[in-house]
Amino acid sequence: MQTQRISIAVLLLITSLQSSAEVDVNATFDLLKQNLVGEWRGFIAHSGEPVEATFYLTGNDSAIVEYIRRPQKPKASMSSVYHAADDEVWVTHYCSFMNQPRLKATSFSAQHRSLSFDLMDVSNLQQSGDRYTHKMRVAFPGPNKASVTYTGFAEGQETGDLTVELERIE
Amino acid sequence: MKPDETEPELTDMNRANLISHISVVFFVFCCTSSQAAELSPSPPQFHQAFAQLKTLEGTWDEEEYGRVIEYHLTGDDSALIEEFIGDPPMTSVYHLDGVDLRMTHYCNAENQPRMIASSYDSDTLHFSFVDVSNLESPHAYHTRTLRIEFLTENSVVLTFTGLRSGEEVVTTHTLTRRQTQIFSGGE
Repeated sequence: MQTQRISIAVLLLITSLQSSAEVDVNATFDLLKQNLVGEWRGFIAHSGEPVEATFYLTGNDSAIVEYIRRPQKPKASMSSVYHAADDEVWVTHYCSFMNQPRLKATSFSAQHRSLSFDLMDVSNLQQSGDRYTHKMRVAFPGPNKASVTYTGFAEGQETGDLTVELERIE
Repeated sequence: MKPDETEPELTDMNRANLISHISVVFFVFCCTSSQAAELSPSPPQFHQAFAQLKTLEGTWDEEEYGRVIEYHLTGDDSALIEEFIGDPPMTSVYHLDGVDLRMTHYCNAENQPRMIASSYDSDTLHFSFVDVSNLESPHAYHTRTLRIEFLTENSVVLTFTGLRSGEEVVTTHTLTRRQTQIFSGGE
């Protein structure tokens, strides 16, 4: 039983290292720059609520600012900033939950053209039960299409996804 | 057990001594409290500082370099984004973290210093260095402190102080709020 537990732990560690190794920092950040920068419009998948999004470069092209506006709920607009951090790609999400999770890219799926981010830490949590984004996923399902998924977390469990489906404005 | 075996009655002398001791303790408490307040502002001060930062929302001009600076709120007004628009652009984001006020500077030097508010007195807000990501080498330029001076509601000065190979580099930006054009109508 003990051996089996250790084997599972080692397997999980190897899997996580393999996932990390898949993320090449330059290739990943270039992918985001090439595919995200510009003006977009779309909707929130589960509700159909319309959104408008702008992705722009800053800091001598070293960071991408994401600004997602929700015309029907202006206060719920939210931003994220993606950037290379040594040999990793990080994103800080300035959330409408009023906290700021920082996540790092942990895996890239060539098949799904998607990049997954996992939580590193979070600031401005008011109470232990506060909800915050603990995973993000950026996907490019087709030409001039993108989606960003924020996975919420509270009290030890995931609380669901908020996916923003986007189409580039020509 | 009789009361007088455990609790001797207070004589005038004892009462005077007790009052004297209490006074000394109270005096020491007041002194240490005021010293602590000087060294570390109470939490509401940084909440006030963030409220004052939020008043920057809008468009500003920096005449010296001909740049435009925009401030806008995001995340249910929990974060203030500062955009230096021009060549090259740079961005900072300010937000509360419990009792603290923090900022991340997405710098033209292609690194990202994080700072924390260290003092505030309604005219001036100081940020001190916490850490930095994507630093090319220990000698590479990176911002260490930021001072924001609120001169008037339409004038603010940002002073970034950085280090390059151990030498201080100071950059000052004087911003003037762009006045809203009011259409007065024609005849």
